[in-house]
Amino acid sequence: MSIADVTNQFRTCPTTGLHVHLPAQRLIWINAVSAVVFLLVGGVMAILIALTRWPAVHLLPQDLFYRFITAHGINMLVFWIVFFEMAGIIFAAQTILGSRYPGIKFGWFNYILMISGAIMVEVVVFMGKADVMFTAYPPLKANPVFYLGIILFAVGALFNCFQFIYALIIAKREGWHKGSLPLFTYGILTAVIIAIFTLVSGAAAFIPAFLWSIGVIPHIDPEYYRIAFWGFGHSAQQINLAAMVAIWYMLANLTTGAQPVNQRMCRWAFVLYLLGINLGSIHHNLVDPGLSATYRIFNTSYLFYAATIGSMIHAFSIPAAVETAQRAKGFTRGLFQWLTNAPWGQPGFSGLVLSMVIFGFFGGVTGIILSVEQLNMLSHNNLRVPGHFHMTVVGGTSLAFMALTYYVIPLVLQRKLIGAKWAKYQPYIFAIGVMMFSTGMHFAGVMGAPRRHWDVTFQNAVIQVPFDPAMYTFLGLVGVGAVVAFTGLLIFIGIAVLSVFFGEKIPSKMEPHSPPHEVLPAAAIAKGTV
Amino acid sequence: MPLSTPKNWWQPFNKEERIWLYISILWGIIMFVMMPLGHFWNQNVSSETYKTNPEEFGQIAQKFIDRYQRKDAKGVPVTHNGKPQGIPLVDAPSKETGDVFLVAQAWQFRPVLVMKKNKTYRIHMSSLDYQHGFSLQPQNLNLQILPYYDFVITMSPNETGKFFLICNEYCMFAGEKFGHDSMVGQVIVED
Repeated sequence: MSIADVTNQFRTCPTTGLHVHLPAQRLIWINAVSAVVFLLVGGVMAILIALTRWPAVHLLPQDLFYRFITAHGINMLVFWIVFFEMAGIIFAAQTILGSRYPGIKFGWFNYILMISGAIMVEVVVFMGKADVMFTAYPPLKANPVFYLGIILFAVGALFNCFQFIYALIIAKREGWHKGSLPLFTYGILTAVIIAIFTLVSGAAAFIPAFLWSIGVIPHIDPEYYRIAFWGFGHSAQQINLAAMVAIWYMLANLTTGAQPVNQRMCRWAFVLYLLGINLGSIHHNLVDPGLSATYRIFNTSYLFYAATIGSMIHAFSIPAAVETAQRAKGFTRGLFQWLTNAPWGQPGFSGLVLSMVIFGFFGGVTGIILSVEQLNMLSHNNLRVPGHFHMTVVGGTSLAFMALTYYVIPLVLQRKLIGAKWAKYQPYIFAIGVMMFSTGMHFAGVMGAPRRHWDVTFQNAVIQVPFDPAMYTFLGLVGVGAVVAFTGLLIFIGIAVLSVFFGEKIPSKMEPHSPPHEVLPAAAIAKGTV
Repeated sequence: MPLSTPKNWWQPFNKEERIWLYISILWGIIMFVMMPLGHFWNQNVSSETYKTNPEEFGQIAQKFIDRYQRKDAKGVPVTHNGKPQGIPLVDAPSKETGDVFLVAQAWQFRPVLVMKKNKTYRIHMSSLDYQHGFSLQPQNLNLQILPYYDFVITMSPNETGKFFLICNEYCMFAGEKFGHDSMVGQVIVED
């Protein structure tokens, strides 16, 4: 396809002036819509699980409880977040750079790989052939289709990552974009680089597990699997982290016009993520047999907390950018007028602030404590761990993704929001619910409640365990908080689905767009044939 | 602007940024140093581990139970609930006289260990099937038990009473009656 054919496939966004490549827009649409569908599945599982852990309700029977926890983990941590990130990386490479998106058919092929993998996993989990939890630790053995589905999904995601990097190269070579990458795309590139080594580590865990499940290899070492799995499982959360921070910068800009004060600092922080973050994975293995204390300590410190320093920088530079922008608008009275006069009614801004506070403060602090080698003994596998990661992944990442969706729908998907009034309150409702159930989980865990456990009252056990009665109060808080958070989730899904399918179409002019910069010599030769 | 191409983003850090960076780096170092210091205060998780396999460990543990299980006045072996099919009650030998073996198997910790206050014990733990969690309550002390790994912890109980072991690593279920959530063991510390 020649560049001349591509130029007619662009429209210009009437609000932002961004050049959107229509075939890429369709890819963004399908990935984002799939993400929200899986969010709904995972959300229904979430409320059912939470109502079971609330001892006064104890809703589900034993088998469904474990089945739904498996489904909840995979739907939320993998399908919802990764599909949303796939939409995000296409947006970052195409729309932000105003480039064409190369290999549209390849993008659809990747999507089909991912969706068929996801459906295989859903079917096999709900049929009860894979009650092995998200982690699937051997010797727990699932149906081979389960492993195969995850591998297909991961391969699709990996191909999308390579395509993203290729798209950046094309943008430079063909002259669509010149100079440094915009900060948002830079952050997404960080996420993509982390994603590549994460998915390779995932392959090291899931491919042997698949071969073992079909009987090709007789035995998997359980500790090998745990280390390889967490090289995937935890680093996957760092993909979310880098993507979420990039989204924070974008939300700050969209809602208050904030510009990073010093991009050198922000970019260094992303580099620190790259250097230090994959060393975090061993904090899942701190009380496992077979690892030396030196290895545990060095590894779990994220390279002497280098990645934590990266997060500290963002925690400084995003509020600083917002404050500078607000002061420039004339909100200069006292220390905090810039904050009191911030657009709190815009879901993008409230979502940004709540996501930063829940992720950075509550999630970050609890996470750092859990990953201290000696303290981990007091928290390993009890409910304190899900208490931590629901603050980071739900209150942080998911909330930031939701807040962004309210802008993606009109700007990229060209639909007016239905229920914009509800969107104003949605981040608050969701954040309050998340904080309630995460706090409940945290303190119930401190009192000894195990995670992934159907019945902490031990009615079937041969020996009764007397827990602190306060634990049951905190488990009750988990149930109540989950109801509030689920309400917030339903409002979000309602707005997103109604707007995408029934929202008023926002007209946008088709405008030819061709590379505004000169073509690099190497590409000049290939021009017309690439 | 985060969404557009920056012209010149390579600016020197200003004073506030530098102060914040120094604070962050210093804080990172303080947090790191806390962990190596644990070596000196003997706070680390045990790293003594041996290779084993379920058959071998099961046999060793059974021999251990046969040898040390408590007998009543008539010479009948004692179990945790007094019934013959209960979990065997074992008077654990302290470090000087022998090693202790604890088996995790779906859905039981075997045996129930009886220890003496202020004596030191070497406890070998392994699983005969799935991965299990060693969660000592109400201390809330948690360790991982894996099959094929013999994990040795050294422990000196310093208070008397009944303590509970719950499994906190998911290990399947069967029907409504049995499963991961009914896997409970016990440790008794006497004077």
